[in-house]
Amino acid sequence: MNNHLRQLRADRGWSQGDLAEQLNVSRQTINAIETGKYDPSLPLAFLIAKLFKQPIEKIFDPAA
Amino acid sequence: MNPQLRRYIADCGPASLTFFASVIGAMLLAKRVEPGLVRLLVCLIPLPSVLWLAWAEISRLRRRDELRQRIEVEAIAIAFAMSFVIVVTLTFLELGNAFSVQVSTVSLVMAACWVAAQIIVRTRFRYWCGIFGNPTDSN
Repeated sequence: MNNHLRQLRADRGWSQGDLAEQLNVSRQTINAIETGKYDPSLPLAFLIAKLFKQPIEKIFDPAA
Repeated sequence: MNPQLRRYIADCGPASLTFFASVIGAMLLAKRVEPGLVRLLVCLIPLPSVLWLAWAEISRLRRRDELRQRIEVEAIAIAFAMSFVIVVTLTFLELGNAFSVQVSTVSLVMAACWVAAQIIVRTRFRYWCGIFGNPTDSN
């Protein structure tokens, strides 16, 4: 699954560590999501959407 | 010190130390006690520390984030499969009178399989999936 997490994070000037801290996950988890190697759980995906104030489908692209 | 190792020591260190101390203490004490009920009770001294260690490990797993939980659970599943195959094979060999297997061997097999599974899963995630492999990719 593709996502725009890296772009959204970069737009806000956050490091992976900053984002990980806000989502209460490890930096490795953020890295794995950004590189498409790990799909987050639904609760974490909602948390990401809430943090970036965007709908889930705008952040995660299930077509890929 | 590695932060993960520091956290592991904080979470499971006291339980691990108590476990090893109680095992050594029970072994030494059991040699000095005559066979019988008292000796059996002495041999069971490490049991509470085993339960404490199990509880500490499960609590630690529950506190981890979802990716780490997935990695740990995968390692546990592989370790279970490995140890099951080895123990069943040993049991069949014992049934065929090939050799005699002691019960203590099973715990050693389980421990060895758990360590092997941890190495396999961490290597897979690090080198094949690249999940831990991008330490510079943090900005």
